Amino acid sequence: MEYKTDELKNRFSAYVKQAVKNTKWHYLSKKWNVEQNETAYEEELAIPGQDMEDLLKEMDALSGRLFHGVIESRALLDQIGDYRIYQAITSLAEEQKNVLVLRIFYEKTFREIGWILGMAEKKAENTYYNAVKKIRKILGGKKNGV
Amino acid sequence: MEFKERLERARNYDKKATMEIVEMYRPLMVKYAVVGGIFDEDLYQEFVYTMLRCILKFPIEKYGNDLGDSEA
Repeated sequence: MEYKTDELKNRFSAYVKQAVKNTKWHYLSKKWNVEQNETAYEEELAIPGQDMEDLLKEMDALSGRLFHGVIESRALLDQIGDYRIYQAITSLAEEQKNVLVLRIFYEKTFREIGWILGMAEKKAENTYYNAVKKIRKILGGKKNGV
Repeated sequence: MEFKERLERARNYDKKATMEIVEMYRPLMVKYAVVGGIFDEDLYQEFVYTMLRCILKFPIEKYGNDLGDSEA
């Protein structure tokens, strides 16, 4: 009798152990994916070979104009050297493009983006991540660079 | 209380029996919740959730009956 109970307990223990191992694997791979994507976003959309000082000067000039309601997305997007990234970004909806430009080039927070474009902070955030997702899809779903 | 009886009670949503089983496997969960030498509280919580699912999903009929038949 004692042996039978132990047998059931052993089988249950093996079942639990395997489930715990699977949970750990899923948890860690999910965490790893999140970390990878967080760092990749900015790197992926950075402008290669751009002189830093020129870029800052240009950004200052554009920031001044931005608060008068002008988003120079066209001028900024023209600086992108990689044709595939340029094509991917220009294929986005106007709203997504504006959010992306404000976030990447002007380095605005989502709250500021929402304020500038007249939308909620959460909507700006969602629009940004959807845009990034779409770009990644167009570029072939790679996560580390292009 | 025998393990089988405890497990069956837990499967019938007996809180005490469920807690006893979860407690029984606490060392296992703590061991696996250590990542890179650091205890991960979130992972531990995931394990407790997994544990509860295991209690409900474990095919006790299959193993339980097999054992019961051979006993008889």
